[in-house]
Amino acid sequence: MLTKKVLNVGFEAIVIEERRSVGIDELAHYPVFPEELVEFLRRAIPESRHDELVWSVALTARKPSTPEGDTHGA
Amino acid sequence: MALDAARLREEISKVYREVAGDPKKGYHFHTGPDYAAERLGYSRAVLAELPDAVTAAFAGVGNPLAAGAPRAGDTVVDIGAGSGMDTFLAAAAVGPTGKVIAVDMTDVMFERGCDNVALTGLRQIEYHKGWAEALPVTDTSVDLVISNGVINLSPDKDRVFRESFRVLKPGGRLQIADIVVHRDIPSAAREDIAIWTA
Repeated sequence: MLTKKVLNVGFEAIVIEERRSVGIDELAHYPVFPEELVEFLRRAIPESRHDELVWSVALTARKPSTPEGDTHGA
Repeated sequence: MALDAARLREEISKVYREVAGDPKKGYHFHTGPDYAAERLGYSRAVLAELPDAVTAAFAGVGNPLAAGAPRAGDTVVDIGAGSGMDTFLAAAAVGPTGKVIAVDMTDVMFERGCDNVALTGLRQIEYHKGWAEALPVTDTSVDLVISNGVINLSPDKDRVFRESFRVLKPGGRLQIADIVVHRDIPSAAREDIAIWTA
């Protein structure tokens, strides 16, 4: 979904440089997830899925160099 | 039970305000240079060159500059810069002939960032209070847009990417580190966590 969003805007050369699966226990150590949400996820998601919940990703992309490639501008 | 998105967003903002005000308080999540070096692969030696005030409140989820540092003279935008660890690393790379525009929506991180700029005297850094969805940056003026663990918090992620596209020069690069949800999470749970991670 992330890649599609970036592509739809008009970026090219989209690369996921790093993708690592993150489970609930590790998720709790990221600041963007408050404790309340983490506890909700523990309840809402089957325990068998707790070790693979989200991806930590690094994405790179490039704005087209030529005006011809720039067809999706804001 | 569905989550109250507005309340949780405020909770997240509150957490970041607390981190900015007291970065060494001890949180349930990781912060600071040791976390950045041990878990995210930042160079400990490079971080040691930055003031503690810059690195202590770091709370990113990856290293957007690992894919490539900006060049000397480049203009960089850091979306959701916080206290500015990535901002200052980018500033070192672009040098005095370049510019780093740090954008953050929270008063406390904006103020802390401005204090850090004054502390270091790095004139190539400009701090702006603003939104990721409406960057205070002119069109086609930027070589590199970076962001670290911020876009997942935006209520309009498409707009953040459109803004990034708008400000970049032709050939300019986008480098982000963030959290995204697995596709096969049960739909009931996904509807809630997608608020944060889609």
